[in-house]
Amino acid sequence: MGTNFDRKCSDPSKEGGALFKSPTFSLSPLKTTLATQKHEATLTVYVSTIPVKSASTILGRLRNAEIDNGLNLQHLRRFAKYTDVPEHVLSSIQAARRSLGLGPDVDTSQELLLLVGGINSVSHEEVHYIISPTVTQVPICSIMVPLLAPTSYEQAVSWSSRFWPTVYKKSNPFGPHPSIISRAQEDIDGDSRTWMELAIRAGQESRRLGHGEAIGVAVVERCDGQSRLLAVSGDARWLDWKHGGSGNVAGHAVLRSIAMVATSIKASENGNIDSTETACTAPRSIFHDKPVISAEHGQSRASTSRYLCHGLEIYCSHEPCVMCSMAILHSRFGKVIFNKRMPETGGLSSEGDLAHGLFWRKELNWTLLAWEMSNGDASGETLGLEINA
Amino acid sequence: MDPQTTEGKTGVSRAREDMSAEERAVHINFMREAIAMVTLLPLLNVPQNILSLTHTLQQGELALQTDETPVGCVFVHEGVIIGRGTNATNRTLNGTRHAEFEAINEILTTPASTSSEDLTNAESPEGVSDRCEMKYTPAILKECDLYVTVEPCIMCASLLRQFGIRKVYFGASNEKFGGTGGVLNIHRANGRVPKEGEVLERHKDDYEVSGGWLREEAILLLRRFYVQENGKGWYSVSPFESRCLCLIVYLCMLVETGADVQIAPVPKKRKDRTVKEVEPLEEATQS
Ligand SMILES: [Zn+2]
Ligand SMILES: [Zn+2]
Repeated sequence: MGTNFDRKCSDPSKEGGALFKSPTFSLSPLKTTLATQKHEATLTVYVSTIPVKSASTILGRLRNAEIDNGLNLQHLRRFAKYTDVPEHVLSSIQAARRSLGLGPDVDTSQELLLLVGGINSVSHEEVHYIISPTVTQVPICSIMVPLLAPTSYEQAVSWSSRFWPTVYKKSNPFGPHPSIISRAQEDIDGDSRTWMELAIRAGQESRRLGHGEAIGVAVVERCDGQSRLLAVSGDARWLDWKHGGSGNVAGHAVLRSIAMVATSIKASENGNIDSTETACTAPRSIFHDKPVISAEHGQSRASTSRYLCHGLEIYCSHEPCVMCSMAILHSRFGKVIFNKRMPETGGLSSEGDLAHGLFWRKELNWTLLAWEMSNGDASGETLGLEINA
Repeated sequence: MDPQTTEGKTGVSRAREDMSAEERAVHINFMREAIAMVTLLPLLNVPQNILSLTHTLQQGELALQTDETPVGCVFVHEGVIIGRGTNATNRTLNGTRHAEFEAINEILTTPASTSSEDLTNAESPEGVSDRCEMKYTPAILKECDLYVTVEPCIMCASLLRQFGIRKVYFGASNEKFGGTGGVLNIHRANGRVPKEGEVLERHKDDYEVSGGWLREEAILLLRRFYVQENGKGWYSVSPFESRCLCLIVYLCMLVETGADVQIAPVPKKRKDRTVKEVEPLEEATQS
């Protein structure tokens, strides 16, 4: 088994090349539930005009007023030039001027637009006071702005043209920081195809042998730039299973890979009293936690001190079902990469039917990075939509 | 943990007024069995570590310890417990071995009988796989009720949905991972959140859920687990008790397995006796 394993690892170009010829092949980070749900949440804010020369005085009064309570509007520019805001903002402010009986002529080079604050956190009178405690006529209008920070530069540009000048600060209020994602993606970019191909192949073999659906999984440990295969499993829901229904749910490929990692850690720790346990427990179980086909492997991880599958990578030919997605979280994986999306049963994505986005939810005590690894329709088996992968 | 709860020792809350007292008593009884799974947890581990047990017996001291999160469950079919499970994530180093998985494994691997007729039939073309007939088919799960001390997590809620279950009775709710109301509602439409104005249609895999059964006791178990320092177990018994315990386990094994060294994972049929034996031990540790 060892030599077989080495061969597969050491020659990714040969092994992985066959399936992934498609130039469209790519890794794309999954969106979190927050990112999909609150993507375009907006807030109504007061905007006014101020003379350029009194900008700093007004900013001082604004700070003293402490009106942004609870709201983080760091992604929005405080001051904007007339030329920087969308047309509808200009017409709103013109309308405000008209209602005060002010003329339409403004020296736009001598004036700035000021975003004062959300209409629920500051009153019209306060705005007036902040802009000018002495001048009686202050044009104030209200506009809509994006409530939460943009998650990409493109989004910031789009929002700037639609709402108000918006800055992309390379932060992500809805999930992992973009720099963490991109660094992690660089790490896996080189060999992720190889692992995915192993996963897909294990699934195909499982199906061919009638063990299960064409769903496969590979688990990889990555230390100091070196990656190492720990487990490969195919789906085994029909193995030793004479019944219909959805098969042996405990035989899903993800659960089997997790069990294989655990079994090999246990085996490597043995030599002590624990070995009696494997010898004595009943041979029959619904957990197929040992390799049953040639494509499958179980290998102990290098750092045995760590517990469960902490920080490991898991490659899935199909988006895991809700059960398997949560199993991945319970096992403390660090990265999950899947090939085919399961729009009706998948538990990871925040955009499918279920939209659970389990890989990154604030309520759960573990989060991990997740990618969809699409390769067009070049390879992999298409499963029935109702199947839980 | 929950000062607002005033339901008393039964822990039966709200939504159950329509239930008759007899019916409630039945559910509470089964929930007690689920809790007993946890209080018996160290004992259940004993047969599997029989060698270390006899070893410690020689030393005259036994400290039964566990660092498993104390969650236990029973599956009930037509008023009869057909499967039991406890959380086994630490023992197996597998973070997915929750009580529900263990219990379903037990149900689906219970042999129908050990008669020689079955054994001869076993040499079918498939070989090993059909060595013996199983007592239950997976379809039985759809007619089962689950009693579990803590609300099933999202993973187990999905497991139950995929295998099928009739109703889930749980003790404490699980705000961190709960899949039947705590975080997601997997038992309803696989957790899909209805769109505005949409009423979710009942799906064939949906199942009923009822929480709060013996809640205080379930919470107490968890609290005792989390309070302990360094993750070590909360059971330690005196040398005399350990000898008694070993003797019981040994006798159970003899009855279960005859003189064979093969050891059954759980001395199921002796459960009544074991419960009686363990309760005094528990009191001893509390004092
Ligand atoms: Zn699955
Ligand atoms: Zn669970």
